[in-house]
Amino acid sequence: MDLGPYLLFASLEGLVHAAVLSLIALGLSLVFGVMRIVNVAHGEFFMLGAILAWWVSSFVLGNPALGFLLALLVAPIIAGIIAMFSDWLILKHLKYDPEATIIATIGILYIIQQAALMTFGPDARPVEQPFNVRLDLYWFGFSAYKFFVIFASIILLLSVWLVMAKTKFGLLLRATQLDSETAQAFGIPISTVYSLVFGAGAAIAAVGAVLIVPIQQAHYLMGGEPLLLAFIVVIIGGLGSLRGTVAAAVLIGMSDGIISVFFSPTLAKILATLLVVFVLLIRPNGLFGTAKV
Amino acid sequence: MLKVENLTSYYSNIKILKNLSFNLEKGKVLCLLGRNGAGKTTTLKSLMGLVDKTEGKIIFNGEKISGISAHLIPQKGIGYVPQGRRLFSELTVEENLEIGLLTRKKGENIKNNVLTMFPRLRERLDQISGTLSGGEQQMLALARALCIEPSLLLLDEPTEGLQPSMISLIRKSILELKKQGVAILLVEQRVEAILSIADEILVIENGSIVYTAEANEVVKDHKKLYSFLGV
Repeated sequence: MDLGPYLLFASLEGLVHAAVLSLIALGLSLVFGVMRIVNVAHGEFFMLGAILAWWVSSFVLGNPALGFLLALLVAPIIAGIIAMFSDWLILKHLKYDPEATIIATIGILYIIQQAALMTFGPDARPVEQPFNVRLDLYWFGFSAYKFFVIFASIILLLSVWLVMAKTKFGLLLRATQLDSETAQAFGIPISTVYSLVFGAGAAIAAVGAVLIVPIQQAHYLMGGEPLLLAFIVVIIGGLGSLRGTVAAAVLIGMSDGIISVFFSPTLAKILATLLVVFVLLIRPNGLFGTAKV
Repeated sequence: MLKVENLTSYYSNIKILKNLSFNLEKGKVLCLLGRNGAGKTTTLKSLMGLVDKTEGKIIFNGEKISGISAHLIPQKGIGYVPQGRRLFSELTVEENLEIGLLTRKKGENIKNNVLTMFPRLRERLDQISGTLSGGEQQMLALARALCIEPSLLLLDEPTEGLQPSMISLIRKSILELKKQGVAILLVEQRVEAILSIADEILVIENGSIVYTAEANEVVKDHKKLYSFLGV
């Protein structure tokens, strides 16, 4: 294959990666933006989404499309409920203290990870693609499902933006993000808002997992790498900035995809980490972040 | 209307307010004075349920409101203008008012009434509130609190950092609200700014009330009040 088509292929792979990464990072950014906590367990909600997708779709073997749709509905709901339960059981009692919640979410990470291992076992679990169509792009064939992943991610990102920018619930979230104490003084029940946001962050990551799991495989240790990349994305984009998160996810996802195809995935991670250092030196609040006074 | 009995508040385990007791009637203005760090802002925050640990009793319109969740307080009809305005600075003027209207059903009517009181805000509905001038921000902070249709309004240094024309506008608004029967608990540093609008004055020092007086008594004789304030 010539360089041009090869670059196009790598870019498409990168776009798929960027699409899913933007969903994972969006959940992380939403949680940090509104609750001001760093959720170290976020990658485990992604893992949970993937394993639950395998588990749910295994009930409808022989009909991958139905299994996928069922997983897309059930996995994010269960991941969201588990996240809300963690919030109710642990984070709320720590009064969302930024330092204490880091330690607590590390604990949640291990509990979820080990619970997944004990419940579903150590094996990697494949999930069949809901449809198996290969599009001929003249120079090479490309899975139609991967285009669907990009499309579905864009739809979800736009939906979250619409909710945040145009609905009353979004207004409550933005007000809580800006000043939670004053928000309470105007009737916003911030503990309910926090619980919903923590659940929504986990559910969005789980959607990303359901979308990617027919391309990768579900495994109880799969949460670590997306968590690292999601942190890189939200730091580069600006903690709490949805616009920055999407922009950085495209940047990191695309470069990760292209460098992985041309060179190696390890080099891609090294360069992404160096990029974080570079951005933090030039713009300590990230590309789209604003300094909090 | 408002009855505060032995209010004691803590930040962590440090006692900030010590057994504060006072009453406030409908249509009256009670002014809290005191030096920096005396506990004035903590008093307002305690009434709004924004201090983690409080003891004592707060009764508003016959109902005990101490101990209830902070987000339920505005529903009772208590509006709050925090120190430094605390606007949602990245939201527009209209969105800030929408937040104020969250606890009220007839939002559009209330918003119109508030904007009639502050016509300048009507011209700036789409403007990001953080870009307003200091005076306009204070107007918005007051307007946002009025969207609750409060029967009790807590104002924390509403004239801080404002030019004289704005101070006079805020003062006029307070008098208008007083005339409408709204009870006002006002925290101020500037004695001369409140003497003509306050009915009663309370001086707090180290979290305790050390002096109370009718405002008209103080007008006749400033000396005692000034001795407490170190003026």
